[in-house]
Amino acid sequence: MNMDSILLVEDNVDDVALTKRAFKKNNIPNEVVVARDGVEAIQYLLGSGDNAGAANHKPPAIILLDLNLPRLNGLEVLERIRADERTRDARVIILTSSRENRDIEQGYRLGASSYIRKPVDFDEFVTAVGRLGEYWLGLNEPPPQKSAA
Amino acid sequence: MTRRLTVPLAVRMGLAVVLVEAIVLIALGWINTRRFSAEVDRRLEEGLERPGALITQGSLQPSAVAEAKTMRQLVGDSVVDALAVGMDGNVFHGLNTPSGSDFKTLPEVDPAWLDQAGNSPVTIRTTDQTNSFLIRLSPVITAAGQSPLLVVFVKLRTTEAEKEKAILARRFLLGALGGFAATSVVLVAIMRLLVTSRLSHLAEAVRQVGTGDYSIRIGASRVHDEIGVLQNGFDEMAHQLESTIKDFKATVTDLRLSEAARRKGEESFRQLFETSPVALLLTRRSNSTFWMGNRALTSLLRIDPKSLDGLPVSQFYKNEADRQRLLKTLKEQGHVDNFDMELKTSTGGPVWVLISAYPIEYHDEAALLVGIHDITRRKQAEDEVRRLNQELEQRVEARTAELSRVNRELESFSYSVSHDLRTPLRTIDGFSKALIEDYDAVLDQTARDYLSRVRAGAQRMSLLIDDLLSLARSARGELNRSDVNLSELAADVAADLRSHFPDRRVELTISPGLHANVDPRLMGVVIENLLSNAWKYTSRVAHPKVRFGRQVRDGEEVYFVEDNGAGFDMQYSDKLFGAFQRLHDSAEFDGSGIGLATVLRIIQRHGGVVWAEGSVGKGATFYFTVNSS
Repeated sequence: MNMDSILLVEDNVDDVALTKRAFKKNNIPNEVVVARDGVEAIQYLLGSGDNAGAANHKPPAIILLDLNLPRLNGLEVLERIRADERTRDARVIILTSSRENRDIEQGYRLGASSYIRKPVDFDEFVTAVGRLGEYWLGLNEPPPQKSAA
Repeated sequence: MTRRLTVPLAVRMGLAVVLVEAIVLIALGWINTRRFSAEVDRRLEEGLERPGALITQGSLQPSAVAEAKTMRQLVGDSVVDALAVGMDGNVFHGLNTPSGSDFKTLPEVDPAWLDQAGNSPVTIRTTDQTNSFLIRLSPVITAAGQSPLLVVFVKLRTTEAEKEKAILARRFLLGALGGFAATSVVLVAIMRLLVTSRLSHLAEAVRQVGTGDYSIRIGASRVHDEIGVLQNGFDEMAHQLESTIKDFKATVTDLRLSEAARRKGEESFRQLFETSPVALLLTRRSNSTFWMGNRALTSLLRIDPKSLDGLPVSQFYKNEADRQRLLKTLKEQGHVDNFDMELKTSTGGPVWVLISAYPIEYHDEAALLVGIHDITRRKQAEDEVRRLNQELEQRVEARTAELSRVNRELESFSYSVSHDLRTPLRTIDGFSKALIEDYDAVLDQTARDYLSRVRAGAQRMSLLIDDLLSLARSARGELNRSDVNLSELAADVAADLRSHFPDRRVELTISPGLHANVDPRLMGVVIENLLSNAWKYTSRVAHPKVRFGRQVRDGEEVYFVEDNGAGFDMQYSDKLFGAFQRLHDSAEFDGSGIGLATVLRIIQRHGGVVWAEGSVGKGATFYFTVNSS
């Protein structure tokens, strides 16, 4: 099982709490790093502004990306991740409330690894997160790790 | 022109003939008279000479002169006296003079004569009061060179001879006159016959022709002379003249007729021109001025009809460019049709007109017939229409902008609904669940029930949101039609339903191969709604049956979803397709009341209709059509 951290890009604290709870319920022990908006997420991943230079931490195993974010929205974050060589291969899973076709289409076009809609029913959400972890942290073989950043 | 005295040709020719004849006869008469007179004179002279000559020859005795009978024989009855006279003047013998008389004393004798006669004979003419006489003295010479013995004196009276001569001359003159008259008559008659009668005939014919009778003919001449040629020529000429005149008359008649027709035409033209409701104008092309204009024109251009003639055309153009354009068109096409332009009246007011102009010839002068149609009011109306159209377009543009703004707003609204309304629901549901799980020990049964209700409410609201969004989506966006296999679509939906409700056993029949030209996504929503309704409302029957198929009604293909479920009261069928309208208790059958409203909207957008038939407890059938074009 991949034990690297999980980057959760989510502005809603309730959602952060519920998501963390869902991880716990599914016994996923990975560290969850939360970015409260798109800019924070990019800074964490690529380092810029206050955090200039290369990020001094290991890249996350997966990135859970909400779309409706302040400042830089989720799709813009995704675009930047894919545009940068260091994060081009990162596994980005869009985890959002939206079920709009245009979001799904655009998400995949910009290179989302997966698109998961957050159900309102918490039981269903827990199930979904469980499957997500099972697949992306267990079954799925990540791309070979590049030289340490 | 003075009329000259006409002297007939016959008279002239007769006169000429008479003149010639007179000259000839006078000449002949004169010659003959002369010859006759000379003969008489010769005879007288011979008589005079004869006694002397005979005495000289010796054949007559000198005494014979006294014998009257002999003398009358020798000299003639007109002998007056005969003498034999000696040289001394002694009369030896005498006829009427006694012998022995002296010659020199005789009356009416010149004694010198005797001496003269001694050498050669002497002839003397004398006259007295009443008569003329011829006297001859002939010497009687017996031998040559000797002096004469005596002289024979003979005197005779010539009065008778002269009278005879005069009578003869008179007779001759009379004869000449008679012959002259006779020949004249004959000649004139012949000339009449040969020349003048024919000529006068010709002249008469010519005169008749002169009076206008061109039918006269003389007939072919039997005589081949100049007049004959003239006659034949006349006939030929008269014939030519007649046909020419006939042609001429015909031409004149034609001309008269055409003149009459022209006049009539002119009159009609004038009348038409004057009474035409369209303003008509005739302009001279030579100097571009007005020529004629009808009432409509003068009132249109506000011209005094009396001062119209001669007005320069250029005065009425409003724009020089229009004038150039008009002239160019006229030059290129030869005429102008419905030329749209602005004129100005004589008072300067603007008039919008349609002009048509055709070149014509009027009274042998190049003219332009111009029809002017006043379209000022139409133009104003057009302007008004244009203005209104522009206004309308602006309004439509504004409305469209407003609409697309509203659409965009609606879109962002649904988008944010999709995101933001669900998030708090998830919080409610998630933390309710967390309460139930984490505080199980402190919560009693009622608290747990409440929390379950909170969660159910949140979830139901989530469904409502989904359905509302679906309705909103079905109302907007483009309709992308393509050939869709509805049977497959229904089968997919049914497969989802079966997996979603694994406990349900529904007998589903789908007619295979139903194709339609529809939007696949929206039609999927329709079939999903109808089939899940059928699923839902058959949940309480023992043997649920659902059928999707197609039938033809009134020549139209109608799709249907039929079930044997709860059905509905037809009394409320009009409420089936309204949003949030429900015919069943939500405790009995769960639902948002938006599904059929969405179906209705989608079918309407496809140009079709949807309706339902059913009765309570006996199932329902939903029918819909799609306009496949």
